[in-house]
Amino acid sequence: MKKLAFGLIVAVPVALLGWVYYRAFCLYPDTDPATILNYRFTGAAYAITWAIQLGYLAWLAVKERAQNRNAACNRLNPR
Amino acid sequence: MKKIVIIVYAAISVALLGWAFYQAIYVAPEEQTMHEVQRIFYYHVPSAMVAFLFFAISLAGSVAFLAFRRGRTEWAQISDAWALAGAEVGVVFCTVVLITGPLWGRRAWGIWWTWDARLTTTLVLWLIYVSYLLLRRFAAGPQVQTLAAVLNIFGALDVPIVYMSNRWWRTQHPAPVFGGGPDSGIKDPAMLAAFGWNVIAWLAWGLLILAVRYHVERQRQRYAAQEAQAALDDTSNA
Repeated sequence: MKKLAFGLIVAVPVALLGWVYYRAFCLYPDTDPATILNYRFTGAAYAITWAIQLGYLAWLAVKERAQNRNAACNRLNPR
Repeated sequence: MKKIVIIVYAAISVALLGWAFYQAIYVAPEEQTMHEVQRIFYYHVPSAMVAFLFFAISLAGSVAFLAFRRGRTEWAQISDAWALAGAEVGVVFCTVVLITGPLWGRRAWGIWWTWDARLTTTLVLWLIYVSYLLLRRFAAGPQVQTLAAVLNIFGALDVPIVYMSNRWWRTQHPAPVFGGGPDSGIKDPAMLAAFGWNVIAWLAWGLLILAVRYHVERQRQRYAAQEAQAALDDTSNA
């Protein structure tokens, strides 16, 4: 489960960034600047959405891990 | 068994998000006036819908906490965990709304932000729930959960105001897509399907991270209870 989550957190932003780059710089090279800007803004909105969602998931994973580590530490070294 | 169910559900959620992404970008036709930038709508509106749902879950959790806090401690703790999880995941979705909205507005209106009723009430909603989370994080003492629950109930009052703002007042924000009068609604079936898939996908994803957040909070409560018990045992042994 952790490996799957880690893979997702790495793979999705990389794929999205590639997609944004492709749409912004490679697709329709002779298109007018306004349309290119539209592509960039849409790509940015999608990429930021995913960054926020996956960043939050990663933060939750880190938080859970720290919590478990602290609890294990307290069990080993009781006051 | 539980682990397999979680993995299958997570896989379904991710597959749904992939399918919804494909629908929004490659299947739904380009809108005639706003063109490509209108596709931001497929992430912006479902995120707002999911945020509202999670703030409602948070409200229900806070009300239940206040109801159970004197008699049924375990139920109160469960309610409080739902209240916190709902508020936090709701803030995540509300943040997405507040970022994707200005990105669309910059292309459609030529400005990033305007102090329009819908935008302002949404920003106020976000600030209220961020203050709720800060209170939970930094305040100490036995009354924190109760104070946070009361703040949550007051904060939830802003949700219907945000929802109704572009019905009650003349706003620059577009008119409601659904339930906004005879002209509202998505006319193109492919656009409607893309929107529907994105609502389902983001709801499925949101429920997944809500469940994860709830699990983390319940675990924290259990560890805190164990620590308190250990401290009590130490005191009685001394």
